[in-house]
Amino acid sequence: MRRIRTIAAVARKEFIKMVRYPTWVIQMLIWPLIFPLLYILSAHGFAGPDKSGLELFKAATGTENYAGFIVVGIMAWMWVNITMWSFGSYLREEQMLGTLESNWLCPINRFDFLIGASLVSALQGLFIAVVSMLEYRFIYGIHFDGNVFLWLLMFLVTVPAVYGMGMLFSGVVLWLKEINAVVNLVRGTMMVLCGITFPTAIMPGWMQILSKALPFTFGLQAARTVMVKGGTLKNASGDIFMCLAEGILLLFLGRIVFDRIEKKVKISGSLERF
Amino acid sequence: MKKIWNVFRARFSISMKIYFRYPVNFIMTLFDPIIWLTPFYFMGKSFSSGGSVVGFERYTGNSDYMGFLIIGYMITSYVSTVFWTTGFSLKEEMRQGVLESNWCAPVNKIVMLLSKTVFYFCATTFEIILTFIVCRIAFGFKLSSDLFQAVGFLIPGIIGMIGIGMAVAALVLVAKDANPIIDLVNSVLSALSGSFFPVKVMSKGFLFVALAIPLTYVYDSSRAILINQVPLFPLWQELIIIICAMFILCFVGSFIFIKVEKKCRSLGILGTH
Repeated sequence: MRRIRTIAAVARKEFIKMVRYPTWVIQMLIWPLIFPLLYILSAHGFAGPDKSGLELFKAATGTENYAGFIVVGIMAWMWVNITMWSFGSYLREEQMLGTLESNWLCPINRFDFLIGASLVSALQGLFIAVVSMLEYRFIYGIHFDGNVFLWLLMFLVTVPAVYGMGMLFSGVVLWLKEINAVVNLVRGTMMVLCGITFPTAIMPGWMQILSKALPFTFGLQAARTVMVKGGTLKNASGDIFMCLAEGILLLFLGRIVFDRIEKKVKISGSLERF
Repeated sequence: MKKIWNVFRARFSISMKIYFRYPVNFIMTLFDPIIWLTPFYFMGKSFSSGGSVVGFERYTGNSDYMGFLIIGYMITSYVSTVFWTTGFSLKEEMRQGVLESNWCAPVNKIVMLLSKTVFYFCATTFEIILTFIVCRIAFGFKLSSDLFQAVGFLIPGIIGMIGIGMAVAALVLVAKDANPIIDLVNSVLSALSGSFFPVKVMSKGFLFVALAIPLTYVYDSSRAILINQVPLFPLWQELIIIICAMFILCFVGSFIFIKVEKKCRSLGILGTH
């Protein structure tokens, strides 16, 4: 019961901070619309005025729907991005405000701070996913295969991976005392290795091996099979399994790393330093 | 004059100390170009056959899409620096609780705002040199010898962007939040001015908007000079547009900033956030 109260208090505080600034509307409604535009228009440019490049794209990806291919990747990327910022900036903000150490002294499970912050990021992620789907469908005219339950399942499949990465990331922020560069590194690695805007089969062999170590690669492949290529759940089951298995592993790893680093910074007395 | 010089020196020194306090920022400079350009590189590969992107060539006049993207990336770095340093520095000072006390100093507020950008321009220039080296090794990127001509187009273009940066800073003073506003302005301008794709791919309505943004001509002229792509208009015409826009944007941006700042001071909401 006490744990739930802690989690609820942190979540409420984060939610109030989020809606305090009216600019949250930009983040939730406008950002999903603009961000993929850069990649969609680039793909448009690569395809050429007569769309002759589309045949080559189809041969590489199995679909001509390059806009659908890109936005599915971008939606996953945005969710990871939000989670990274919310986990990392939660701790960093507390450091900057000088309240991290005093909060840490409370007789509660430290991990509950992160769970509270993650509830708001999950809400944001889900909201952005729904808004994105509607905007891409009705403004960009992108058609998605499957149904809403399958889409929701694709979202849920990546939950362990996203939060595992978030915990891992929080530990690193506590250690390095810097968020921007670390967020850029994590989301950049995902952008390069997971095939957010291109098929991973295009990459050299060694990069493909690295990409398979990340659960998001499988999550994206599963989502594209169902949402863009018109495949069934059975077609995507192998990728779903791998995404869940690697995601759960990442969740455990994230927890262990966070606990270790938290202990280390407490012993060295560097928790509040920035 | 001496007062202004002192402000620039002090703000330069503060920014430099904060930048070097976090060495991870500097290390990331080496990875940033790879992280942001590699997705486009592989995207281009998925549309290419035998190393040539025929569709892209029809828009730009040659198939050098990596050169196109790298120049776009370099100019975008300067544009981002303008927006993040003008807008975000205000939010940082609000959060640290020093904005109001700094603002009490008997110095022009625009000088206060712009002095914060100087160090970051130096850092960005250094980062762009590193980007060039990294891209030369990773993607075989080459420039033509007309670098100084391209800089002549770039400098007035960036000064014009500082005008927009001042308007963004005014918005931050009112909205009390920086990230979404800066991200939005930065992305919309980059997306509509052809930072990573030829503007000709856009529909007529958007193309009209793109041609009304001076940044489009900065990207276009730099690519025409540095990698011999076909410009939208003759280069001398693009230079005239960039210079005229520089004066207009600086005047409008500073006007908006002065008005909003005055309003915030009279309402007493400068330091609140």
